Amino acid sequence: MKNYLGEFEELILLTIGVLGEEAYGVSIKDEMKLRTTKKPSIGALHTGLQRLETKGYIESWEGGATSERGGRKKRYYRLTNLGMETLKKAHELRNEMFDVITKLAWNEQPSK
Amino acid sequence: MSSPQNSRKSLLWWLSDKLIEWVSPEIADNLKGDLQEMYLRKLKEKSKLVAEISLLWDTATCLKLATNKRGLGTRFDSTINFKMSLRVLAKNKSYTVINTIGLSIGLAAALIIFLYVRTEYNYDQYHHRSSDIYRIVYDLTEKNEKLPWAIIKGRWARMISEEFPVVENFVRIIPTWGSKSLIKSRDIEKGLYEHGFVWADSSLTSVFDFHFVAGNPKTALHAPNTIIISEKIATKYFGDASLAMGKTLNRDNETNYKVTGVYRQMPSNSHFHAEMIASLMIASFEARENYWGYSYLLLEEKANLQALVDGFPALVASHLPENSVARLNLQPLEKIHLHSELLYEFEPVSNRTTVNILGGVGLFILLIACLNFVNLSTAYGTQRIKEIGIKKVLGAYRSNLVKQLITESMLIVIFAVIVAGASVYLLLPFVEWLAGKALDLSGVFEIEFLLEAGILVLLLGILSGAYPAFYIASFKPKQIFEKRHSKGKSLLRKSLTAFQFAMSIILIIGSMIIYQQLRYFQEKDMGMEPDQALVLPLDYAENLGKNYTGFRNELLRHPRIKNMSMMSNLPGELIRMWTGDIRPVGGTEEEKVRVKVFTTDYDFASTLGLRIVEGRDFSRSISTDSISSVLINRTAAHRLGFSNLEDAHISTPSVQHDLKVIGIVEDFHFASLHNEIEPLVIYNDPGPKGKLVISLETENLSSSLESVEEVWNKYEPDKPMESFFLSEYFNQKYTNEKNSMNLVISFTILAVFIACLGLFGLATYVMHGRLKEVGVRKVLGASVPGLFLLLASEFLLLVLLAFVVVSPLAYYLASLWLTDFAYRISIDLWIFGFAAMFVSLLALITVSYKSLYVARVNPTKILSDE
Repeated sequence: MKNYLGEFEELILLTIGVLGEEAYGVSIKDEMKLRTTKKPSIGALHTGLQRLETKGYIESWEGGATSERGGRKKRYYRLTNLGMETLKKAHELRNEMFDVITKLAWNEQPSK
Repeated sequence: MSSPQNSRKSLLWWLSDKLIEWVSPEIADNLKGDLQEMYLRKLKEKSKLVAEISLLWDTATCLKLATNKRGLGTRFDSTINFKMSLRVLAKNKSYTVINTIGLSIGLAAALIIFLYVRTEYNYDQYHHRSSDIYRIVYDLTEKNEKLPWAIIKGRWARMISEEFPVVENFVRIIPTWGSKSLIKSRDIEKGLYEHGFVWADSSLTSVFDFHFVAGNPKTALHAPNTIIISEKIATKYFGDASLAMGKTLNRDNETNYKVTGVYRQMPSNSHFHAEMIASLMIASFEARENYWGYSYLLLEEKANLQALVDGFPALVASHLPENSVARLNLQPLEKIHLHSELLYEFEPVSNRTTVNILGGVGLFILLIACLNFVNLSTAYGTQRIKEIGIKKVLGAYRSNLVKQLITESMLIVIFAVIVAGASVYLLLPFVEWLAGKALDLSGVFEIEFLLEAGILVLLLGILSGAYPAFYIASFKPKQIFEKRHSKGKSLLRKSLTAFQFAMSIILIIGSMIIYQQLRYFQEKDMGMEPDQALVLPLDYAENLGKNYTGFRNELLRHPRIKNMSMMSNLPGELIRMWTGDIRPVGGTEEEKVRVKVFTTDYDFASTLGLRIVEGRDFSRSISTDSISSVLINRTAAHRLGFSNLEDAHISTPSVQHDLKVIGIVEDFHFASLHNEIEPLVIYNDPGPKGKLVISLETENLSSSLESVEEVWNKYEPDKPMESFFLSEYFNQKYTNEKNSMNLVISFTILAVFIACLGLFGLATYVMHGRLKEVGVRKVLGASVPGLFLLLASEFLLLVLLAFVVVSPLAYYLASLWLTDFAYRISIDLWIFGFAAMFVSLLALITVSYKSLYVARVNPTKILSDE
């Protein structure tokens, strides 16, 4: 399954998309905590990021250094075209299937 | 801010960085940045501890990155090892339990001792500038005799700080010289006697650290009638710290002080403990200059100490007449508790040798426990030899086996650490009771320290686990199945066990000597009979002082009250004793003798039960006895060169006329057994004095006490009577020794117990190696008792060997400790005999379980294996 996207991975992709140009380790973690009730550990987050980058869904570049990071640079992430595509596909797939569910539900209404 | 912490990179960060670099070198920088950012945020929002714990947790979650790319191989391997180890340990419960118990006792004991020794060594270091604080001390050098005092006159501190710019500040503290103060407040009208009242300069709070809960430390002691009090006193007299501010405390019906500050209780590891600190401004400038007390200087950072001390003689010379013997010196604040040997010390200080001995005991125990661990693991390993063989045949690498065995050791170490930590935590109150003081736990619960300790213990575990692991993993399968291994190589284990016992023997001998020395202190003939001597402090009983004769007559009517005498101070109360110079009348400067001075009234000798060697006691019927007669002790008579009392007259600068010596009393211990008996002069002065000593009949002490109190209340209706027995007071003098004895003895018992566990392990190992031999012997007709003796004697020899080797060392260490006491026991040889017997007996009991088991085993069971 080449384009398989795990639930957590999808969540990361979505968060990166939401954050736009401001997505890096800690901000992604914070955003996820804000928008979902989940609190990913920083280790798990980076595991996911690493996998996503290998799969080519995201790309990263180094930003400016700040003092609160001990002079270390931030590594920002953004979606690649492939990543955006995969996300869309996953979304479409989901929508299609959900539509089927609602149609079924509609059809089973006692109509006669 | 370029670095996360202070300039020093902390261990925690180092560890975290290394781990991150190891698990994922590619994105290490990125991760470290994230961790740091999160840490700083937590630090701002919560506390340092929370931030550090989160850092540790976050780092731990990153470990899963290690398996992200490398696949599952390594993880699989370690999981299997871990599971196997757990199962092995669970299967051999007795081994696991014995080993864990041994190790955790050792660790717990070492930890407790570490905390204790740390407390002793950290005395007075809680002040943030403790290393810049010095006490001015006074050296009186005379006739090659050094008499260092902890106290000096107040003017020196002021003069030194004016003369030398390196002195930033100074503070003088005047104690009440051991008397209690009668403290009253509006709520406690009758007043209570309290210890710990002092006067101090207002600079006190700038030199020393006080934790104020109320009031302003900067200005609290500026006005003359102000006082700062501890929380305990505040609660006692006013109900609460917040209610105390601005209220009034009265001391000794004389002075009212306004409370301007409440401070948290001074830590136990301070060389003095003040409950109430009144402003010294209450005294005039001249009085402040002339009071004797403790003076402390706060120097600039990194001040040149030697240059300062070198400047003292010139300063002294310019203010004192020529040829004066007084010499000033400085003593670092941090060294007062363990290194001071001065007279008139604030509170009893600790004996450095004893503290170091205890530290040594701690190391011994830790070492014994580790050796024990090695011994037991190795012995146990030889029982699973078949398992190792099978594994090797199935293709396990040696490294696999070593890993698994080390995992087992580590698991035991981790169990033991948890058990030890928990038991220390639970036992802490008991230990503090045993040690007689609160332990200094500052910094112990910080993650830094815990981590350092954890790493140290794990290293210990790896080291102890390494030898057994490599040893066991090195068995050759062929040998294993041919059963050709067996004993042989047990020399190392035997010497380890012998070593453990050697140390236990040292500890046993040591604690017996310490015990004997203390018994000696308590039972030594003091030269007086303090048992039935009741002491009433009279410091503030003015009415009674005025009507003493009436009080005395009324008391003596009581049949069980034998005698009484007033004295300036108690025997043993060195801090209130005067020192003076006397010489025989007409004697030269060289014949001058420095003496201690007792001021008393009639019946001194008979009240304390002193023996008069020559002459007589003071008598009421001889009028000159109250002015111009003295008693001296035997040492003084000897020093003065009086062989008889005819024409024995002495003179002293402080008294106009010559004094006649009317009697010589046998030497008695008027100071403490730590000090040699010094020359003593006893004056008779009918005026009121500090203490009244009443000697009672042995029977019905409590009813006698009641009668005394009845009479007291007649004369002093406003003041509660206080009393204690002189013997109790003496016993208190040896509390430091008693506490360290408690600790040493408790830890000796632990050490011996651990050594026995080790012996048990060794016995198990050796016995199994000799099973076949025993089988053959049995078939050939050996009896069970004979076999038992044969098996057990090997271990007894081991213990005896340890004893022979270690006795001289024990003797040397014991005599080293004893040199600190002026009056000490001689080391009896029977102690050594007893220790040897005791240890042998213990060893015998320990090995008899296994020996009997082996001796009674059915030979067919063993030999049918072949």
